[in-house]
Amino acid sequence: MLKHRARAMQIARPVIASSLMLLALAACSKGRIVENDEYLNDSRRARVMGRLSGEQDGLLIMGTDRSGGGAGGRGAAGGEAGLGVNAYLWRATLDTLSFLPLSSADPFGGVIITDWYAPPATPNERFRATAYIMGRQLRSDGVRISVFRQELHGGTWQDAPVVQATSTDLENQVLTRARELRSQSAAR
Amino acid sequence: MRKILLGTTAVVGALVMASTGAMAQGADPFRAAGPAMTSHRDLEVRLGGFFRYYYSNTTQDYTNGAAGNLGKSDFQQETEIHVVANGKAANGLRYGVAVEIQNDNFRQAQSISGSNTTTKTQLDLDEAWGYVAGSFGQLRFGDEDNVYGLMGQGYIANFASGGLDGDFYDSLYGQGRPALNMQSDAGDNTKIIYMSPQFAGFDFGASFAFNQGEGPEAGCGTTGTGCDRLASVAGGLIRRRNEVTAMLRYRGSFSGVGIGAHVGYMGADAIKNTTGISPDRMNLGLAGIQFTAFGFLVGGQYVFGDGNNGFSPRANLAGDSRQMNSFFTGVSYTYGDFTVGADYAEVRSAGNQSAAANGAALTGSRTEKGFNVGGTYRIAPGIEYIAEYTYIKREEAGFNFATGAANAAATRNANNSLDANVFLTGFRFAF
Repeated sequence: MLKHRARAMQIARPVIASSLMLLALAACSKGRIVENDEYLNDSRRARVMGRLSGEQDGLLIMGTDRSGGGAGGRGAAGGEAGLGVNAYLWRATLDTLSFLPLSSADPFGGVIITDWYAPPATPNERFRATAYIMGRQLRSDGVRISVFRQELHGGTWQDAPVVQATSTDLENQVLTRARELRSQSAAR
Repeated sequence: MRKILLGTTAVVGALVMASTGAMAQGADPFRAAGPAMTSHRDLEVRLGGFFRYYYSNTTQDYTNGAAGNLGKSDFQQETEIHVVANGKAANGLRYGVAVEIQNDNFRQAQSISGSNTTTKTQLDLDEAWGYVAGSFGQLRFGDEDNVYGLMGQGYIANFASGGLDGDFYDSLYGQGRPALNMQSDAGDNTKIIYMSPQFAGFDFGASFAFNQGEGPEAGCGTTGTGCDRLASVAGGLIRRRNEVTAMLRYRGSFSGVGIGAHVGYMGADAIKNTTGISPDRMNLGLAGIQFTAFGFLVGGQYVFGDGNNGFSPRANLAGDSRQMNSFFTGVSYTYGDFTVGADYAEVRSAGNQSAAANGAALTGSRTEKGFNVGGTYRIAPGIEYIAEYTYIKREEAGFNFATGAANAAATRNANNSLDANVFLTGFRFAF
């Protein structure tokens, strides 16, 4: 029996040591809460993608709807509760335009409008942007960004042309960021 | 006038506050008595369901004989009803309960002879568990898989009915059912589970069960092998006690490639023998890895150590220290509404471990192999069409797969191998 106890310790030691290190880490810092859908559910129902009940995961028979878009919503189309457009594109657009002050954001219509911003290095010009997220699907044509530029002449701001590639570059940055977010979500 | 307005506002405000306070103390008839943190206002209770309908075509060795002969074709249905409650208390504590009701109570009708007085459509419970979760992690308790089943990586079951963890088992019976050591095969014995938050992609978990029993009852009317809490018995018994499982999991992505991996340990004592040598303690190492990219999911798992197939302890025979080695690998590819995939598993174990009265081994080592290939077409959200083929082979020198027992020395080579083929196709629904 002692031989087998020693064998148990031999196999379990690395796992226990790593777990204790993580436990110590847990005591020092706050980790991310792991959601229930990040653990394997081996029921047959869990293996079917989507639900006949649509976005809802099952039928709500009592209480407050806390589904957050349901099992089919999260990950399937990138939708989340309170969003009428693709969640990855929405978050990626907010991330990409975060250097500009936000004026308004409509998560249902998918419109983000920033306020004017004058870079410290060029105080005589200022920019603002308007982003439109076109739908619930993560597509390369799912986001349109318009950039506006003004220059300061004689104490008044006047419209000025924007290099055409600016909008396209910003859209590409949004798509790259959206792809990163989706990969991170898929890997969880 | 201003003073009157302020006064009435204060009175109304006081009434509202008093009302809220009273409800928090349990005055609300829809709320259980107790402190405010047990508020059920945010509770969500859902009813979910599953139904499948398959055509199966099965060939299995040794199913024809004096007791009867089996055909190949059958229609099958299976139903699940899930009741899931989730809530969040005012202090941020998350809690919930999941109860899974199913009709796959095959044990009631597994005999191929005689008439069955009970029906295999009788309902029983699959998993039933509760949890509390917060920044400390999650504490889960009840009839649920161990942390290997919950956190394992490299498990490819997202195509057809679930690859080698799919529904082909329901078409096989007796010795036709292999023990391929899928990560959920250790069972839903009643246990307590802790799973940590995630730190830099890592999380860990541990689970403990006193025995392999499920449900509320002791498992027996009088002391005997049926009792959940059986600790020792004459002759011993190959059944797990004091089952401990620990897992360390990593998940992350690099340049769009998702990576998941785990290492773990599963150990358990066996029921002791009061009249002789007790079975060996089970000590298993667990490892797995998977990659996801461009619609592909590729993975593998390895289970090894002192134990027998099916996550069982090993009988303590003189000179028998054969270890169990279990390999699994699979791949799937998803494109739009289609997913196709294939799994392969192989388990090498001590097997039956029969010995003659003089101690000589009657049986050799067991090798079990499984191969599954199949696909899924998602007709609409919640409706899928699946088709799959599964091949099973079981081999053990000296063991008779027709009778399920070791052969006598004179007929040692009889029926040492079993082949089975299952083709399944049909629809499944979930709401």
